[in-house]
Amino acid sequence: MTSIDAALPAVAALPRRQSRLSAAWAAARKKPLGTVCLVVIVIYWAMAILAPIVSRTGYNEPLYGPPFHGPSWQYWFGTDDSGRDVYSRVVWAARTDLLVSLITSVVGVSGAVLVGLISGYFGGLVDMLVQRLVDAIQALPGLILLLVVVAIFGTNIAIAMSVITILTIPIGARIIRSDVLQLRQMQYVEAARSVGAGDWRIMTRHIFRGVMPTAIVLATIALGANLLVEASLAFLGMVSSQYPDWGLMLNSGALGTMEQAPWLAVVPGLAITIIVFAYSMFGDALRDILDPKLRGIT
Amino acid sequence: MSSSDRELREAARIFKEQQRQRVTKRLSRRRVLSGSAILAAGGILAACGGSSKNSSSTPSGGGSTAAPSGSATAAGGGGSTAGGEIPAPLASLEYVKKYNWRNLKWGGTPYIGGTLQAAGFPPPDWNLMTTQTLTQFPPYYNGLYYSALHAGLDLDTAAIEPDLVTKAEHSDDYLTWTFTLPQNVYFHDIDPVNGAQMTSADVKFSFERYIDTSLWNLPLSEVDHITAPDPYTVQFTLKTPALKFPDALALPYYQVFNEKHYDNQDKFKTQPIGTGAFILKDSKALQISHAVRNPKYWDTARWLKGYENAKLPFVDNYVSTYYSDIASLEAGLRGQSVDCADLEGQLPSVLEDLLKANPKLQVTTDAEWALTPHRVFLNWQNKYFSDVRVRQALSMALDREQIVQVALGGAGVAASSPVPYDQMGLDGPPALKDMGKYMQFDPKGAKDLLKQAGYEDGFNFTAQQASATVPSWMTLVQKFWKDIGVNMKIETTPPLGTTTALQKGTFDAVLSNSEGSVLGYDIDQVMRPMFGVGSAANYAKVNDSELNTIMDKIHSSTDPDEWTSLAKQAFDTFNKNQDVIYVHGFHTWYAAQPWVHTIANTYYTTIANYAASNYRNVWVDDTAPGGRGGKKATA
Repeated sequence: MTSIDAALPAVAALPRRQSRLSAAWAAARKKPLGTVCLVVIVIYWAMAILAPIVSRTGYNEPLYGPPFHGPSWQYWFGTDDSGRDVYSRVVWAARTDLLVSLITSVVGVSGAVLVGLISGYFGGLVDMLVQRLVDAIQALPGLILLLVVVAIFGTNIAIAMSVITILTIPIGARIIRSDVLQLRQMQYVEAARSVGAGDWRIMTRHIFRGVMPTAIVLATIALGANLLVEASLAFLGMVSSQYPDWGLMLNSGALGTMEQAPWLAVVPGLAITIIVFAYSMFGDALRDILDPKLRGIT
Repeated sequence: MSSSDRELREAARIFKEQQRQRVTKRLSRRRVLSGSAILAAGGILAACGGSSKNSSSTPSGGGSTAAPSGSATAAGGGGSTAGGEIPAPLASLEYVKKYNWRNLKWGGTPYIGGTLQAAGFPPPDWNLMTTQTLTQFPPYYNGLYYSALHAGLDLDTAAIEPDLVTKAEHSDDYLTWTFTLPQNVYFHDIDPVNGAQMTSADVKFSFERYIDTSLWNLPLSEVDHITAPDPYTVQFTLKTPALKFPDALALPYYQVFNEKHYDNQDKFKTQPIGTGAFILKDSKALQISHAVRNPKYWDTARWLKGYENAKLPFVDNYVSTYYSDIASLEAGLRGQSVDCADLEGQLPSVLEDLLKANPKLQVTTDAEWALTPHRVFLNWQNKYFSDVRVRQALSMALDREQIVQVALGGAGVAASSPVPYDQMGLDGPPALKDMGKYMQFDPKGAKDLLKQAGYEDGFNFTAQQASATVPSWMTLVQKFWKDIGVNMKIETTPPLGTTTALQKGTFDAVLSNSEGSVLGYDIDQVMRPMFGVGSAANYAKVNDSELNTIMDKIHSSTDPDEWTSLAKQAFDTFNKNQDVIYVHGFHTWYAAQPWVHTIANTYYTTIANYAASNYRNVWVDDTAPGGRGGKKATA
């Protein structure tokens, strides 16, 4: 006589689902560099958000110390040409740069997801038109386009942010589209369609969830890339802001007083380097963790 | 015709001399009273030494006017310093005293040939009518007058000298100016001009085009008509008297060219064809230009004792290279690939770092670049700034001395105004304390004035500026105004953005490094366009009736003494009414390698700017690297 329980061992052999905490710990151990970078990013975000508490002065307080005073216990990162505390300005600038990179990345990647979803899901003429538009935008050299737009419309930071956002869309849209092309062939999508789910429901409830890991990775990488683009523009003097910005600080430090007061260029330069590196490495680690292919699940 | 240009300059020189003697007398009296007779005698001697300035009016070509009226330079041999005491107001400025043009070796034995590698600004095109960078043109052309830079001059003034003029005369009413031209001047041998002789017809044609076509026609707006009675005489008839008309002609905008050249517009825009010391061989905009000696150049080193007949230019090749940033320029000066460079706007510590690396570098500076101070244009059409009390309050809120110390590293003068000090017969910038109560730092007084104006709680406004990053002096102005409750938001615009805003009047305030400068060598040229009602260059829409009255008197004045007195009145009125907020003037810096001779800067300009005609007077000695020095001349 066969016991019903005899059929159960297969089920019992399934691995136990990890708690989120232990999954995160496992991921951290697996990707130590990514973990360190995450810590750096968290510190950076905290510094930006808590700038009024963490900084020693306001973002624009001249005559805090003597001009061009080198780094010391009193002035950790030295002072600039107006006697402003460079440490405080670097902290306040973190806020500007975080805001710029966050807005451009979130909005840009959201746009990319929308475009990629529509293009990949509907295919045909819609796909062709959208992809040619994406091709056209991608054919334009990004930095040159930015320089032209800024030259025409001015150096207001909002204009630079708009263009960076627009440039973020096609890169992401292409990647998302390729994911959608695969996902729409999946059986669960076919199943949803067979039970009468509409296009909108399939896209939002089934395919969108499938592309989320890719979108998160894209956003993480875009955070660093967009920060770098904005800093480059600011360094070239094509962005203006009444608030401190690492690129602007680098511009005045590197072009005017590199030899006399190297800390003015080195400190914001290091800040940009560290944060962009952290975003990039964390993005890579995240991709490795979230991508089912790289996890060996498929 | 009654008086020549030389006489005019002699009158100015005598006036200066009288001023200096008055200073000497005051000095002597004080010291005698204090019982220090020996010191008093020393003071007198020192003051006498200081009077060795020279208001040269050396004529060009083989003209009939007299030789320079005395020389401060001992030329010949290995060259010697210009000597003479630095006037007290200048000597009190640390860097002006230390890096004074008098300390350089002037004159001596020239070297012929070689290559001069200057830092410059090859322009986008060579169209004399439209280019924004006219300072590059003078090596290839000549004007009627020029801002000179050589041995035997007083470089604390504009040092205007005749160029294509051998004799200048004016009518008693200063309405007609007649210039005699040299007869040995030829254009470059380039098609379509092909080495034609320069005549009065060329001068007439050139100036008529400047008046009807040039972007820079404002200083010639008072010219009624020009005639050429004979091939070597040209006559300008003016609408109103102009005591200092040659000063306007000395602006580098006005170079003489040929009609055939102008008719061939393609050539006119791409190839300078003038009578200048150099012939342009090739030029890449904002990169590099190469020029060679004009073998038929007409002028000689008339100012160089013992070598008066030496043909100019001294060097065979003149290369002008553009350096887009100060770091590469400094590297060029250290690496000896740059012979000379304008280092405008640099802090003294930058220059001193350069000197550490290259101790023989010749660095000169002057009190301020007279015509490009740092200032704030406040739009008089704005309700706040039309009130004189608000402007006065904003001025009083500024600690100018601290701004100079912090923002300029001490390399500037707190007392800046649109009236250059030499126009008031002074030897140096006036002390800040002598500029009236509204120029003094007095935050309490400033707040009282704001209260009287009805703005006890201050107000907010936006100011535009064009530098890539906000310069230190602007940050400090912002801070001092914030301290009295006036919040200025600084908005950065593209490079030409502030100029456009100034021209259109679409601004509340513009923080200006140099934008909107109306350049010239005298107060009438500078002030009338900038503050005259209805003038296109009156960007701040200034309407100061008191100042207008004085400017009108200056404009019609034909008496040098009266002119000087009116300049002082204009100075006092401007300081009282704060029509535009002048924050400070900054020292101009010029650096040249030790093998480069006859190069410095003047109170008004540098060789890289308005004194660019002087490359013909520069020589490179045989210590230059790479064998690019010249060969020692024989007397």
